[in-house]
Amino acid sequence: MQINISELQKIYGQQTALDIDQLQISKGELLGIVGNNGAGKTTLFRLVLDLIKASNGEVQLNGQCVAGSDHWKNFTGSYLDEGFLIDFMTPEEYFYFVASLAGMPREATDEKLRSFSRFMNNEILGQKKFIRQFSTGNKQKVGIIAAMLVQPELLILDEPFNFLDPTSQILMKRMLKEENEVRGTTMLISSHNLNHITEICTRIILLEKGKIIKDLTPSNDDLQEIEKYFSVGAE
Amino acid sequence: MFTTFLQHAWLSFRRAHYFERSIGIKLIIGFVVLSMLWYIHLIARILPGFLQELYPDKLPHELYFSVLFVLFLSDQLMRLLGQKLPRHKIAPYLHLPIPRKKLATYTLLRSWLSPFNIYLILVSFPFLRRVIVPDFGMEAFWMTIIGLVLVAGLSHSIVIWAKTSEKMGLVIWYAGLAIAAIFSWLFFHEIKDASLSLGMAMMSGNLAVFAIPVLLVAALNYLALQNLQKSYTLVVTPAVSKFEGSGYMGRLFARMPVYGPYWDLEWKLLTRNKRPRANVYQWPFAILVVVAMISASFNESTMVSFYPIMLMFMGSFGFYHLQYTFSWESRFFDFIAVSTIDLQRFILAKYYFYTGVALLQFLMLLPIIWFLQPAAVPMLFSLMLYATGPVFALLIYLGVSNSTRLDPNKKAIFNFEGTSGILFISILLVFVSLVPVAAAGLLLPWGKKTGIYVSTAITGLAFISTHKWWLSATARKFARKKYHNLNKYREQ
Repeated sequence: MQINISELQKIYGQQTALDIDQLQISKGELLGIVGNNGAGKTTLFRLVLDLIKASNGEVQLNGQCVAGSDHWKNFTGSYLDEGFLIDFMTPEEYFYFVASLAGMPREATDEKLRSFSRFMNNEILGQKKFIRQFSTGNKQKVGIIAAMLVQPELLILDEPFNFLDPTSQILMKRMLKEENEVRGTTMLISSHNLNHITEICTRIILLEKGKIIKDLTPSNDDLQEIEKYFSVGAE
Repeated sequence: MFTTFLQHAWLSFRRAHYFERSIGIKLIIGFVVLSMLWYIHLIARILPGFLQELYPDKLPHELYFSVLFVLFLSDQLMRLLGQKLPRHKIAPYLHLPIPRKKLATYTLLRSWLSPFNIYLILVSFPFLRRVIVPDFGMEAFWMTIIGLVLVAGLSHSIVIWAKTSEKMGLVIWYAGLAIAAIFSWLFFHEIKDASLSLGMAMMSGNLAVFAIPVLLVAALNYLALQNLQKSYTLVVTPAVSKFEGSGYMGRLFARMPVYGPYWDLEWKLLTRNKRPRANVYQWPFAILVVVAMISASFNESTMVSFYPIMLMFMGSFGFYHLQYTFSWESRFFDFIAVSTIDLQRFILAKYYFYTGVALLQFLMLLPIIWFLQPAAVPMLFSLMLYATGPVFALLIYLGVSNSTRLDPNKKAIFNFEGTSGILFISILLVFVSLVPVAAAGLLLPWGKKTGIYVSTAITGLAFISTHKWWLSATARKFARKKYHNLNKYREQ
């Protein structure tokens, strides 16, 4: 699963939300994307998922441009926000629906769902509630599980640690690492929590006003460098 | 404080979604309102003559008065299903230093501003004016109207008292309604006579007839105010929506091949969200209304007046939903855009779903109409074909152009916030398109009516048989507008 981004720009009026010259993400990389609010993280994800039209440039997944095509949907799992949830379904119905779109049988879906049981903490399945009636944290869990359910080759999660309790955050990190190491899933993950990102990611890019200003391999030095960047911004 | 509340109520009304529209939409709303008033006027003109034909020994106003009690019971039933306390209106004030009593009083007063308190008078007004004024004078007419206002007020007060009394009030109310319904069935003639006497007393301005309901209204409102203050949580606690599973239909759709998952999704969308659910469950009542209109009002000369209304009915709730194709799904369209859902199949599934519903409705209506008014069958059949053909084609096409974000789980009086005026006005094309079709029918050699039915049916069939072609063109159009629509769905 190779991702190639070239000369990608998204411009709203006079404002450039994203401007990436070149970015290659290799198969099996777990890429963390950090940056302050408005840095362009979600815009980048939306462009990779063909949810908004690029002003210039393109995103290629496995050598094929995503814009206007559907091939990438067969191997991509994603969760950006509540707009990805069908909120009048129960979590079970939503999971089965997502799995059925990928041709996954019910038994296999149940089996896969069992592997998320600790993460769900008995608060998701069998609740007799629609997704819209869940707390924000549990909605987040539903979206993340649905994205990971069909074992995609590429997983895109926008701030997946938000709204999760500390235990769920730790479980989340474990799940992502395991998925990446065992299955070689390529992942794009954004977060404001630098510790989480440096702990699990094999590569980190730092966005500022839509541009990549650092491309790092996590180490203590790099963490300090990123922390320094954010603390300078706070002063 | 009440002045402030009223000012806020006015602002909330004035700034509601349905006023944030272009002049085109406002004009069309005006058109719809005027049409409704026209139909009320039309019924007022037709009904007296019709009643006289059916019951030559009774006067029309006597017939109206004799069903007053039945009207009151039906009104109670409608309020049981639909009328709610305006609790949510005070939610923003709860954390402010305002005495509870004031909030409770405001809630009670605000509840009087309800369409349930107006419709009976609005519908009865022109009819009663026509049948009372010529023989009994203006004063008798106004006395009757005041009586009707009191009847509506009493009905309102009973409901508000019951709904503020928590469980016991509701139990008493349900039991009272059930007993009243049984009595009106067992002693139909006696109750009819009593209703008639009450109506005649109202018309003659008998003070006792007015005094009793006034006292009852005052007492019930006093009790309701006490209830509101006592059980304050009833005011501040939002109603919890009841969980419902897939149901038989959902499970049936889910098992079907090819379009099954799409129909399952559509069914859940319709039945689990406030706005569309109202349509699904009002639909059977709408059929009854159609049948009643056909059996009571149709003859050779009036049939044409109901032609556009019939077209809407024959399209069933597809007529309403398809102009919002995808807007209903706007809240989760990002998911649709990144999943393997096939857009073309999605649109086809929607078309088959609503066409199926229209066909089912027609089959249900067929034996009733055949019995009541066989002459209407060819007209309704041709209109059903026309509705599911060119009308659905136009609605889906316009729906794809509509980039409105709709929250199907929110309630609103009208359901098209954000829709552009031009788009909305173009819905008129649906009705206007009947004109050339009917004109072409006049050229056919089978006589006026048959010619019109045949040309309407042929046009419908032509569109139905080519549905794959025009739906595919529509899907391509949506693909071209994808980014624009997604952006609007996400950010509105």
